[in-house]
Amino acid sequence: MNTKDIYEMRTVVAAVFLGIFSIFVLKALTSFEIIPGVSYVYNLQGPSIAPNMITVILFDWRGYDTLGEAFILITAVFTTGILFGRGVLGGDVKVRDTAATRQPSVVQKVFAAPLVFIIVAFGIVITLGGHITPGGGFQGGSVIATAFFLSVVVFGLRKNVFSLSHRSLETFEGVGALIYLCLGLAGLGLSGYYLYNVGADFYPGLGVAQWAVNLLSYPDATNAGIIPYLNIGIALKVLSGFCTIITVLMGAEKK
Amino acid sequence: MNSELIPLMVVFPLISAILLNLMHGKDRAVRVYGTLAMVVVIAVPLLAVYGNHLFGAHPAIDTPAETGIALGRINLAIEYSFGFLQRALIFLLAAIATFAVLSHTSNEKRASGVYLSMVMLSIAAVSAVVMANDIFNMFVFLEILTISQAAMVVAKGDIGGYKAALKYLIFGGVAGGAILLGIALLLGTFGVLNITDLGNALSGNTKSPIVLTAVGLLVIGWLFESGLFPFHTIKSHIYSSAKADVAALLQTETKIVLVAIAIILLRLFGGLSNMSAVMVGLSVITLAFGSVMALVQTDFRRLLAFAAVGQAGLVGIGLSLGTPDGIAASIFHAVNDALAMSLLFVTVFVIYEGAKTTEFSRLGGLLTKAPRLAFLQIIGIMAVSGVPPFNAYQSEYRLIGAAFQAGYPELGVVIILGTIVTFVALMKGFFLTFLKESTAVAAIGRPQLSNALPLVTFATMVILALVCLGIGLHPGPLYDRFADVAITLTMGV
Repeated sequence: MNTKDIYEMRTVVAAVFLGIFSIFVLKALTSFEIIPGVSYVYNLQGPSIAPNMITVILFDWRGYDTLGEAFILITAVFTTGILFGRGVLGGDVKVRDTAATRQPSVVQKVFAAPLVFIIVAFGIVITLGGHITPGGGFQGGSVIATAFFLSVVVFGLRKNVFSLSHRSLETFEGVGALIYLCLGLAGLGLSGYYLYNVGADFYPGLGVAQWAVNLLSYPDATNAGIIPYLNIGIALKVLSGFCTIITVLMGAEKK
Repeated sequence: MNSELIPLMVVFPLISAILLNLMHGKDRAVRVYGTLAMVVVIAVPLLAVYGNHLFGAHPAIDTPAETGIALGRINLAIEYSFGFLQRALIFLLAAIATFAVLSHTSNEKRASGVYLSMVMLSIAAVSAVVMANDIFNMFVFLEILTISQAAMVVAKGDIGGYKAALKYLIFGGVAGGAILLGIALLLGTFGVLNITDLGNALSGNTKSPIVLTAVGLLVIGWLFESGLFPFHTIKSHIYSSAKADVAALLQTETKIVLVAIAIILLRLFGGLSNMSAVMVGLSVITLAFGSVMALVQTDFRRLLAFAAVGQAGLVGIGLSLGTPDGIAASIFHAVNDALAMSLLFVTVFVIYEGAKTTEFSRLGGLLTKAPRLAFLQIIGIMAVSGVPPFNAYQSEYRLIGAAFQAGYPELGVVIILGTIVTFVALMKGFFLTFLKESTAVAAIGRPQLSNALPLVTFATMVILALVCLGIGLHPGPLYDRFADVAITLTMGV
């Protein structure tokens, strides 16, 4: 029996086991009864903060998980950078960006430029209204990033509508993440609990100073507190994260 | 009691990671900040007060009937708990990570901010997994851990590292998915994510198909994160593809995460004897495969990588037994082995730095060139293989005792056999590197290996050797505290 046969046999064995496992999981799922659980409490108390329940759960009760999710994305973006030579031990590897400029056709030029502005405006609306209407930082950031993609695909890396350098994208990403982390630290410093929603001041017994509550309370009819600010931080981070990845990939395209 | 320093153990490394990435390219700033940040990372776990931290300050409430949760009170917030075990593990991690950072800032011509930010992210992730009393939060930080570990291997910049990291991420994706599905099943059935609450809701309810499926899925995740069978090959591949300081850090992180997740599994499903049997079986297979594979390697780095994986199996055995003695001995062994293995990884990579190879066919007769290194390596080998008076002797002896007490004398025999095989494999490596005079090496000329070691590296090796000796001579202070932790853990089971 040669090596190829062994590999084939291994695949067959793996497939059989996967099949058995899948049947077992499906069988178990037939007896899966879902209870409302802790999300019932979230939904009960949530409307006193802001109307969009998903944002309230993501950024208030599970705000710290969301911070972790954001850092998964940050780690992935950094790793993409390392894959293409940024930060490799022994000095950075420079990638030539021959795809820097492109000559768009007239149709592309006429349609792309206004469309980019419309998409950016739409993304900003989604972000800022994230606590009221469906949306939020992740969604808004991704939408704005698609405008960047469009602009880069049509006009090339160097002379596009945004003309953001790699460096400024990194700064944006850092600022976005730091907004989130520092709002958490503000909660820790003022109330003793990390990511406490200082602006909403849900538990007045913690003795948060009134000036801090006023400072971090988002000025609209809801009682969302720091949630819109967290949304802005996440949007900056997601947008610049995606843009960094596309910049790196476009730059490496014709190496 | 609410300690305000608890979240800083995760948040400070995260902030540092962002700042170091922004500083990348400014050599001096990266070096200075990286070093200063490690001081804080070491200090925080020592200063923090034992207790719990509730994120967002949401308190526990009486359960409304509409939730369907079968508990009187539930926690609303994500919770971290910090006790002696957490302090010991996070301090160990911080110490080994400090060595990795110092070795980078002192030995590299250009300090890489991105690479140091990956080290910081992995510190944050492991600290979070160790402290998390919330099963979803554990999953989130495990994902960060997997990606940052792969990135540290990629940062070496050679094709072997790329391959290993890609494979690691593919397996990591599968394992991450398994953990997430397991958590989803538990959340849907019992309605809570807090591990204490979930453990209470689960007690006496562990036989339903949903729970058994969730156990299976979570155990798959545990096996991957700990590098146990069937993931031992990919884990050893990762170790041998990384740089010295990174490999030492990676294997420390792996052992800490192994302990942390196993304890979570025991707290959730402690009454389930099937799970314990499966975990013991897979740990034994890992020990056997790791040790035997180490024996047949022709490259010192690969040998060491497999030996490290085999030792993880040893840690897994005691934890899987689920008895207080077994758990205490396993945690103790995880700490001891992380220290001793780090020492060995550093010595082998000093050889690699000097000789540019660790293949046995091209090494030999280095004893006269680097006697200090040989001495430190033999200490490391004795410490790893449980030779008195070093630390792993104390923990392996207790592990064997725990196996006998739990009614499995066969396991004691397996542990002894595994230890002997590891010792033989490591001594083989030592012999072929330092003692044997081969004609092939004489023909191509002996590798250049200077006896003068970089200061940071030498100091680290000496400190690690002294700590191994110190714990070996006075195991009491550390072991007794671990025994207390284990008794508290098993009381609820």
